[in-house]
Amino acid sequence: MIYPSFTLFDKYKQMCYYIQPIKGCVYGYTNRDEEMGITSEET
Amino acid sequence: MATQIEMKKWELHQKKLNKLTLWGLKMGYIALYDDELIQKLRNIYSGGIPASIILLSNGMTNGHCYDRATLMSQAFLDTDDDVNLIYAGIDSLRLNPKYLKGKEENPLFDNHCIVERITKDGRHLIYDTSSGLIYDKKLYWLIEHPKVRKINNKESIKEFVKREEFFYPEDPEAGKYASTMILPMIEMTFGRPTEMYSQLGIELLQREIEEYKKRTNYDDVVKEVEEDMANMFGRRK
Repeated sequence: MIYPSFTLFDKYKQMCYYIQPIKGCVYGYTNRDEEMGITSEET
Repeated sequence: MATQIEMKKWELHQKKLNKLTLWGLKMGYIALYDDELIQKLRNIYSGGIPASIILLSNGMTNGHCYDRATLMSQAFLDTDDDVNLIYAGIDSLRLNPKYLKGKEENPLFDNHCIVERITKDGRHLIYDTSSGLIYDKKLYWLIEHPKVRKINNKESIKEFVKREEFFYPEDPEAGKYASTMILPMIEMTFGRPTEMYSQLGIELLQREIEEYKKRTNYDDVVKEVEEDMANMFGRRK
């Protein structure tokens, strides 16, 4: 069994409650953009 | 300030997101990280902390998608599966009124980074480290409408990781001292509504921290650090 106590989470609605909105990843990471070869020209 | 139309679009996106996520979970198109993956992540380190801890913590992951997706992709580099790092604008950021103000200044304001894994049996999976879930690619595309800007393939990820290791080598032995500061901060978040993997009934984050502590003789490390601190500040008992 993959999740030992996953049965407690059978109610998926309950699980959805804990899934967090994705936070913006741009601010403060522009250097990594450049390192990974991403430029705004490619948009 | 977002306009009414922008607010409405965001509301609709959230409704769609909730419905499709619920459906995906029920139908098995969305899953949590499995044990096989978590065990692999135990041997991948970032800043002295195993990826198995970092990637199960929303606080350590959400908002740092570029770094965390790269970390996640490392779990598949030694397998026969194909793996890509996909950089794409997504609806969850593009429509979020919180980020709209950055639109004018930065054309990449909606950019996100996800891991695509193509298994040998032909399944296309998306690992989104910010939400902490594994998606079927088609469903992820339906939810987020990614506008792909760049794809880094397995070879370029390998190259990048190799370069990182050369300039910033990971040393788990030295890193365990950092854990005495970082783990208590993560432990403070246990059970918070934002932390899916430490909720009662799942507790995978707790399990991983316990496993790491046993593996590194954490209590002895804490003692050592405390003694050093006492010596440094002249408070030896």
